[in-house]
Amino acid sequence: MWGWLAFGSSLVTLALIYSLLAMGLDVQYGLAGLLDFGLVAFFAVGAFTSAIVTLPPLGSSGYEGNYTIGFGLPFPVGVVAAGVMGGLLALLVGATAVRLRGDYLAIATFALATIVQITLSNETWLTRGQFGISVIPQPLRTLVPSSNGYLHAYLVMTAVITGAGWAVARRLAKSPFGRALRAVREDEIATRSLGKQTSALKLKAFVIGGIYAGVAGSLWVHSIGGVHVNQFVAIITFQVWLAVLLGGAGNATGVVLGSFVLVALREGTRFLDLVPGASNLGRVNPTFLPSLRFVVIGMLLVVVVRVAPDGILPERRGRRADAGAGSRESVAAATEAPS
Amino acid sequence: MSQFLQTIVFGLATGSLIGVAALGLTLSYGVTGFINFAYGELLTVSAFSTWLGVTSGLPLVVAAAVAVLVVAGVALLLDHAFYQPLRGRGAMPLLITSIGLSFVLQNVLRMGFGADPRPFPVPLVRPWTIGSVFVPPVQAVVFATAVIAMAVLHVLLRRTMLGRRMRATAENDALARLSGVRTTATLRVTWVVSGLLAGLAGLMLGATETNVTATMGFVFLPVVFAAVILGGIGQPYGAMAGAMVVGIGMELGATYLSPDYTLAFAFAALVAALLFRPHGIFRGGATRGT
Amino acid sequence: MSLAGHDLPAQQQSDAVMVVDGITKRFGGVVAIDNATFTVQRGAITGLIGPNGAGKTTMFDVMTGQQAPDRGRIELDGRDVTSWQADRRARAGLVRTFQIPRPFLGLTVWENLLVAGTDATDEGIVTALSPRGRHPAQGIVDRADDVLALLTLEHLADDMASTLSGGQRKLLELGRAMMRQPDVVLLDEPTAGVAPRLRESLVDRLRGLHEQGLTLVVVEHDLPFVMDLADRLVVMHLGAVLIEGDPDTVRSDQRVLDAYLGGLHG
Repeated sequence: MWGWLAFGSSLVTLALIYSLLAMGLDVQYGLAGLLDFGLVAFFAVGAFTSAIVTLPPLGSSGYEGNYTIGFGLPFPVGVVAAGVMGGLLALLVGATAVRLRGDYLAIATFALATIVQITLSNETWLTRGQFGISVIPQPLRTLVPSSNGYLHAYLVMTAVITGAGWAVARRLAKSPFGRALRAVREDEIATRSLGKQTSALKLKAFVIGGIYAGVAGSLWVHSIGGVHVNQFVAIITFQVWLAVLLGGAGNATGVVLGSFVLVALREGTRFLDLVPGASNLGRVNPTFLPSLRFVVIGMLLVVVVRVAPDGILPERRGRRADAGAGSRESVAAATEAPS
Repeated sequence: MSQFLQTIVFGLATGSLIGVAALGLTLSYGVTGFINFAYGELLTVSAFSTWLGVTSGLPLVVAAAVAVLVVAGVALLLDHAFYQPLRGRGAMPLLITSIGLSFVLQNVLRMGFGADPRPFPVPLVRPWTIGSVFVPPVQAVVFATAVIAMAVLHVLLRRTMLGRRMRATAENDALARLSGVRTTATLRVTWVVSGLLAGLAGLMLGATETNVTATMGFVFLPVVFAAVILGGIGQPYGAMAGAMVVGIGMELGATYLSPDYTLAFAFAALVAALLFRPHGIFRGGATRGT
Repeated sequence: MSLAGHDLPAQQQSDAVMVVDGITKRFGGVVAIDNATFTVQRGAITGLIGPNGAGKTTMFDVMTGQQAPDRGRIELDGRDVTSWQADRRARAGLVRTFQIPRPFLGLTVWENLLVAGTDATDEGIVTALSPRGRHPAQGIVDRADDVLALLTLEHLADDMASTLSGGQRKLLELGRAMMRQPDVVLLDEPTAGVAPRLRESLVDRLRGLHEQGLTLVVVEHDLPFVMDLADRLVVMHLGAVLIEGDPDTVRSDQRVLDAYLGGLHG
């Protein structure tokens, strides 16, 4: 019973981390229409940043691995540094790339994510390459000694951070900033002809996405306690895409919902083991079930785009009445009537 | 000097491999207007089919020919079942669909064959020596195949009605339809030709890497993107030239800078091309897009 | 050879709000605009006319900064704006509509107007997260209300722009331009596709805007309509400016007749 609760707790934590990624992509794609096919790069940079910032330095009392770099700083510094580094990478990439037409941006970000991964696996002094970094400090660990209790505590902390991210994303979407981004998404030339600096707007959206993904990387690395370059493959990016499209692009609540559905589906396929035939196949070919999971995710992308392009919760519209408009309507109409 | 010549020889072979793959991708991009992210898997399917054919007793040449045809069939099937129904809804849904299909194909292959690499059935031949430069026969064959593929495609595009229809559809879909081109049929043929080239490229990739894995095409795909973008989307000659630049650049980078970053050089070239020459460095006549 | 500068009194000439000076624009081998020169007088309605392919829309693109000319310069309010991007010219008070309207289809009519009316300073991230970002400024809301009433689009305020008819989209684009409180508006075929009933009132609105001091440049195919509306006409033919002057002068010019007849037969 307690084991199941702990399992559930770690799944919800994972879903919340995916929610942060999805909200980041949603600002980029859902609002600004930017096809970011390299989101995983910001996630990876956030993860490694947070790990390195919090690792105890070489020779210190807490030091117990083979890594050589560590700053021994507390976890909150790690989260903030992860967000900053994710945002900085997005700024670096986006400063030039956001000018590219839609599908060119998709290719450029896809290629850049691969460059980041190649760099991370080659710069072993920083990332320990194929060995990975383990025993990454876990925050609050000393406060909550029981390991199940710790999972729940971590869940609560993740929920608080993701909740704050959700509130910010919602505000952004409803604000004049979000509305301008949506205009850029609909028609960049028309938006520019109304005096907007569309490249700057797109760059801001891109950087916000990078920050969200960086923070997500930090939360993820500390929940697992280890990090390895091979974890940051392209399929992570496209799982987040699935969460966004499934939940409803442009709607922060929707993409959180989409992330929970994604994690439920993905982890649900673990239980295929219980099907007699499947477990036999799994014995013959150990990659069978993990592969099946990605087949399901790939198929869902195809199906969602085809049958439900607006997702579960479509984008919210700004209504006239919400703006407190219309109160002067009669006056306006009256002054116009004689002309 | 001989090290430099050797690097160029390898670069030409790598460029040839990339070039054949880029021809198929740029052709489908030019005519259909979206980047087929499932293109890498077409290469993988070709290599797997060849391996399967040879392990079930077929001679290599027969297995290879069957594999190329299988890939053309798969390309046609994907178009019919997934891409055709989305026509007229813009590039984004097609893009996402092709990514979904890429993961489906990749992982269906992994479900069937596991994650272990399989040997690509290529005969081992001693390399020829010209002066102090080694030329492995496999690479010579890869280079020759690329030249032939380019020549055949040139004749197809420039000298046949079909080629004219394909170019008309690429220039302006609606206008082509108005002038009586059956664009749906033209698109189908385009997918078949694109598939045949992907099949060929899959054989070349298998022979070069000497083994077959489910992710080989997907990993190779960004390099092909680099060549296509460098050459200007929808430009077969540009794609071939772009492929040579990428291929030779990768080999030079690996020899003189750092072998760890071979792929990164290709992508850096891609990103640089996107930023400074988004219409391709070899752009000739007018193509789709602005 | 332009007639401008010879026939105009000096005082009026100095009150040019826009100057198009020797503009040439080529696409590949095709010359879309060929050394075109004319002025837009402040507060006037200038009609830009000419047969199909005369280069009128390309001229709008060059005037607004959407396309860079190969040669020549554009002046706005006495400043050389040739190197300015479209957004900067728009912020300087120059707005346009498009031949085929480009409303933001995925936004409501109301949101279309608010986007246009909001300045960049209110579109920052800090504003978005501060209480100020919750509601649009009252001034903008009032203006949007007025524009809706003026264009009789009130009943469609919360509808998606994608559901509007072609004529309604034209009106929405005009409304979006008005939200910018511009000095100069370039209108590309403002009445094309607008229902005859609305057309009348649209002309009234344009005259009304003119009376408020707005400068209008109108590309229009309907000659009687534009002859009636405009104070001044610029006639383009095959990329060149044929003649510039008041409607009566233009009406009686043989070259204009030839151009239109030639356009019809060619």
